[in-house]
Amino acid sequence: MPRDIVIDPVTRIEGHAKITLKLNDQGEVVDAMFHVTQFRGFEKFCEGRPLTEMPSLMARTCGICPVSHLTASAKACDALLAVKIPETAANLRRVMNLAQMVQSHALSFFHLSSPDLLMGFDADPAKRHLFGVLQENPQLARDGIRVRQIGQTIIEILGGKKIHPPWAVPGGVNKPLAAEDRDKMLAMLPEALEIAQRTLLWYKRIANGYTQEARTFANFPTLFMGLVTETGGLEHYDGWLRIVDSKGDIVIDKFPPERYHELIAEAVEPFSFMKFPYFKELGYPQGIYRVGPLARLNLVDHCGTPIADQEWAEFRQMQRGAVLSSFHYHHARLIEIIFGIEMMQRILNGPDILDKKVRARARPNRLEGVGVAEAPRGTLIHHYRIDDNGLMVWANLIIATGHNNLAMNRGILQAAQHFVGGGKISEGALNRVEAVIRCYDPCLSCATHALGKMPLHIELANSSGEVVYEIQRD
Amino acid sequence: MKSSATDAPVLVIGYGNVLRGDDGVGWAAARRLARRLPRRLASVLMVHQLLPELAEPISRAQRAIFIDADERLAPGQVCQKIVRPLDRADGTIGHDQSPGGLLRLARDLYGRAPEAMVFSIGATDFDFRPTLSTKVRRALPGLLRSVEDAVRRLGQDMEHCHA
Repeated sequence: MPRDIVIDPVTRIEGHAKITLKLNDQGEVVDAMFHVTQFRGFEKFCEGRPLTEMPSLMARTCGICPVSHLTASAKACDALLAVKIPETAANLRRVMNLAQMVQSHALSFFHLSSPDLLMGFDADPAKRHLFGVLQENPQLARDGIRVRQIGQTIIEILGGKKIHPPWAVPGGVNKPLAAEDRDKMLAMLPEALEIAQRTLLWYKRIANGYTQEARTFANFPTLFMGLVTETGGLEHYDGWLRIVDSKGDIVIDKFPPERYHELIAEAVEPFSFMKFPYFKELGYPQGIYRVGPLARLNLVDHCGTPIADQEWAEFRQMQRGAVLSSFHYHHARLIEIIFGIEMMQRILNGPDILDKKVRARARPNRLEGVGVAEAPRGTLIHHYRIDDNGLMVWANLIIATGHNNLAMNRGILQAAQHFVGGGKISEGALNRVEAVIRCYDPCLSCATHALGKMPLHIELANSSGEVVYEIQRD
Repeated sequence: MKSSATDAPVLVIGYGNVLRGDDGVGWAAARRLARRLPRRLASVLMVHQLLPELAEPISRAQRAIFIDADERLAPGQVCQKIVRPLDRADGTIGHDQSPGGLLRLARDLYGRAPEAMVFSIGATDFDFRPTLSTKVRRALPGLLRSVEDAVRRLGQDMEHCHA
């Protein structure tokens, strides 16, 4: 029996985590901590670099959602140049950002979460993975691969490569769209839409079997934050910040994203390298809020595309007010895939999408700039300060997964209190605690994902802090 | 992912991280092969990781060739071996697959896994830099010749078949 709390100094960029569950004298779980133990340091090592390098440099933050960082960074640089970029450039950035969302959501749903949903949370872990999915439901596995492939291909067509495309630049994008490339993208989207609709139908059928998980996977009132359009529609590139409460009532609306720091502050805890953003007005840790697909669907008045709007209306009928259980992130993710595909079709069919004017050129005109966009996992904020020579002197990044940090910790506690008892933890309970985290599709330190057996270390500690039970997956 | 062509009978996939020294040797080899191999014979891909979506193009190839660095070999040593679809699934991986895992995905999802070989080159230096170590750089021409031979052998086989 281990006597000491084990500190695991994992420094690789893959998503590594550790969970500590604290028990009282009766062996009941009274506290939970989700430790993110790697440190990236992007905010520090960009200091001294020219602002023109920032989009490409920041894209390296992540191998899964580089486009999100590219987009937010380019927007922060637009603000430093003090330019309004050409509308066609903004629309092209939108398309890439949506393609990124589609492929990332597909990775999360099909590759990472569908094994649990298809085979059950208590299934043998030796079968609960992508290969298990292809045995149980090969069509689902093929569909996941295809949707991701389509999203990735659109990114490659626009940016020249799938990962870290050096395409969005301060002032716009570096290349106009050719008609041939537009047509290639449009030709793939009907198939993607068909798959997304088929998958959502399947999900709605099987989700009824997971009422216990829906009830206990981070199912509690919080605020929800995200971007909306001028008319309250679903928005991933621009728009206004909106915050709603658990009843679905608007708390903050039409708030300029560049003033995010008036709404949000960041706390730190000694047990994690991931920051804990919170809503200032409620203080820490009461100012808990969630971002990402569930939050976005909770705070909009409509999506803005026909099929997604129908699905959104049905989704919102699940619960009066906001849909609170994080289990429903999966459902929200599928609706957003549909929205992303429909919106890409609309934008690519627009009259000016082939316009050659896609970049505004300027020297730095401001010393401070903020770029905000919706990444697949939620609101992504890049905030830069430069000196008179255009060199970076300070950066603050608030990554989507960070916004959800408080909620993930509380969600683990809720699930552990429900599924863990008697000082022991079964494989099914372990998987459920893990699956709570997976609902958020976290990009730990905005690194990457792992499937099925996410490297995970869970400790049960008694009221004296003594570790009474420990389980580890490498 | 960068590609030189599609739908040729041989699919060559060089993979690794070009910013981590010798780990970029798969890319370095693939980049050169893309220039040297006839497009009617080979498609060449350069990727950071072996992603599940590669299973589909692999299933369409008559032969797949993977090129990667291998820290278990002596620096600069070139090794080639036949690889088959995994029998036992490796559940610890999600978006990142092994050659055998991809072949299994190709077979089970798309009905066909081609003959496949892995060409490995012994690597030792995985530090943060975009260049290869001297030993790996010197061994690269030998690796290229081996891959070219394998591709051209298939070309000859095909011509015999057509004759």
